Amino acid sequence: MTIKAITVPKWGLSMDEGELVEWHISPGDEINVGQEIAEIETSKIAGAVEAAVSGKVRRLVAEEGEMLPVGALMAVLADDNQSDEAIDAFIATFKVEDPDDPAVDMASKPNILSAQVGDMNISYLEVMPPEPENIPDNDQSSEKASEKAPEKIPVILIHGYGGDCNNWLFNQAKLGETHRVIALDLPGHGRSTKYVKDGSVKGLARIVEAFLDSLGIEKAHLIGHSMGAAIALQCAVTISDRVASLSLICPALVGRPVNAGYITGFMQARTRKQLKPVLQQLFSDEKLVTADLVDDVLKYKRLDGVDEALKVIAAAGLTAEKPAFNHDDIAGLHMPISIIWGENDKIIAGTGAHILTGENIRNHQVKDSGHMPHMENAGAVNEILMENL
Amino acid sequence: MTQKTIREALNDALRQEMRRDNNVIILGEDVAGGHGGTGVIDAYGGPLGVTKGLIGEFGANRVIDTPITESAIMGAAAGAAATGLRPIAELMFVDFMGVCFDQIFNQAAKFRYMFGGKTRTPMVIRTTIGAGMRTAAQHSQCLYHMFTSVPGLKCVMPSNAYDAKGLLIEAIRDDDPVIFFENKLLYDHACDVPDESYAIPFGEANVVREGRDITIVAFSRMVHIAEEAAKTLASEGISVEVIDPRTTSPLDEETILESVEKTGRLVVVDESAARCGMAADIAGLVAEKGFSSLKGPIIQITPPHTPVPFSPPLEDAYIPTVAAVVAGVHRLLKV
Repeated sequence: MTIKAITVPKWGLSMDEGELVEWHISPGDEINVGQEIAEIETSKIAGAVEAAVSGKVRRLVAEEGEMLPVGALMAVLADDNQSDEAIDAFIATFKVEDPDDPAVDMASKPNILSAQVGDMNISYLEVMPPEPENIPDNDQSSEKASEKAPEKIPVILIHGYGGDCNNWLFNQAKLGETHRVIALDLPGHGRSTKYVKDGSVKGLARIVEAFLDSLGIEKAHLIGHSMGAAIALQCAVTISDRVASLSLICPALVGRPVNAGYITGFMQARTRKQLKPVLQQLFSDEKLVTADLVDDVLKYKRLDGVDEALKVIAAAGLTAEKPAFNHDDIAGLHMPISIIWGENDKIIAGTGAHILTGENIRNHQVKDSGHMPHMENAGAVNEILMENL
Repeated sequence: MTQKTIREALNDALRQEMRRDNNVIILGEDVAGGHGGTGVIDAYGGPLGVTKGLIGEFGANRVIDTPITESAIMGAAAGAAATGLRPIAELMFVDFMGVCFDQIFNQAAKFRYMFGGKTRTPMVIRTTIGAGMRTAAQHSQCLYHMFTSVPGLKCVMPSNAYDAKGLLIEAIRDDDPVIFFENKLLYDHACDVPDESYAIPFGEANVVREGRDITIVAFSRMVHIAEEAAKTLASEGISVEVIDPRTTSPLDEETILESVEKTGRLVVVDESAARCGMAADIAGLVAEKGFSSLKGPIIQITPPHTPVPFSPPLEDAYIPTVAAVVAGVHRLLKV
């Protein structure tokens, strides 16, 4: 086994450094791909670092409390026949790759692109899987991957009410290891046109369908969160043969009522002080809502047209008590469907959603998470998502 | 997102609001031309280049070069605002406001009150403030404290490009007279600024940096001095919260008082004036409403009570520095 580096991951477009809060591993441990090995906190969010390689931990280079740039060396893995001197030399010569350098890892770099859908500009963040020859051949799991042709069917990520493509910062890169992954901004959100004609789930699903058309995507795996999950489900109902699989994270409008107080609070919040307690309802751990996270949402909410767009969507039945789908809608779906619920969800709570049963449907409950399990417990959610692709 | 300077962000705001609302007009000295041009077609765009390119798009009826008569600019703007337009008057140096006090203090600021609330005066006065340009005592003052003390005026002083754009758009959409103070040394300061339009509400302070041990309230360019000082102090283990009120009228008292309640210590960094300035105003606020939280005296870091010197070494000594802020914090913490 050669010497392998564990480096600081890049979560989302804006991250350029993070503080190492805690190590979960010690020298001498054997670790596996996907294992949570450390806790890193950025100005926006805290998250767990998953090992991208497996092996024996020989050295922890980064210290707890240290601020590290993206790509910095955190730890070194190697088996026992590598000498300490060789490890020292590896650390001494390790070079941090500039994530903004176009020469670096072009394939897996996220790109902001946009598509014209009717009179709207729909922005999206795209991650392409690495070309097979670019996969490092020193790791067992990637050897397996390199034998396979890259997956042809792309993954579409649909955020929820008031969210944007950056909500998937802990998921998109992971899914992007094997698939082309597109995280779109719904109209009225993110970088897309801040104008919504029809804010109903059906209306927004038509935009997603038109978006697939404009990108020439015949068939896709749909992953949606909250309102985005209802949109994904609506797409599956109307264009069933174009949806390869469906993953619904805390879906709205399937039987569990949406917390109308949250929607009103989110719409009405004008200041940081008003918005923070609203956003805290999203998470199981309120500490995840940092000042920067609140600022980012405020900056979005201040944009011309956003207020109106959020109103149009909220007024189009988002908080309706009756599910927007019936048993026949669901019975007509034959693709694999995963439902993911957050254990402490304060936005879509309760135990309803009985319409979501069937042989092809699996329900999952994710612990330590509220309404944003894909951010709060990304490791567990990513596993479920990948299983369903 | 695109990086823009404060100059570009302000130009963005003016252009987008002029496109949105035909009633928005600009008037001032050299706003259409400026040195290096004929004044008919676009040249420099005002003495500081903020209005560059606007006459090309909106024409001379909406981007109006005036004679050098400050009082007429302000009087015309106040009258235009009272009769339905949304004028943005530019006065290249706040130091020249003296001749416009009647138009601003006694007319524009009072219309709403004198006419039984039936009159709106949606005018913006953009002007520059600040020492450090080697422009001597008559072109270097920071007089926002004087306008803050006049009821009926709103006072805005952005410290960064994101705030500059959002606050200027809010100012243009506001139905009361707004004085918009731009620090001359900050025009090239850049940060991420959305291309889209957005408005930042007045009266909400920006917590620039969160901290536990000490609160620093700073205005305009002094926010950057405070941030630098906070970085130095952080390396000594002192955790500083930096608050940028962004607007002095209305003033977000709550954010300041809540911060002092947490830290128990207050330093105000203000370039306006040693006497009767914003530092004294904030100190008075906290002494009255936050006294029980205070663990030590309130420290005011201001220039001395003197005209801005023309001698470069003296001018540098006049403006509050990072070292002065750090020393003030040390004095307060007795380290």
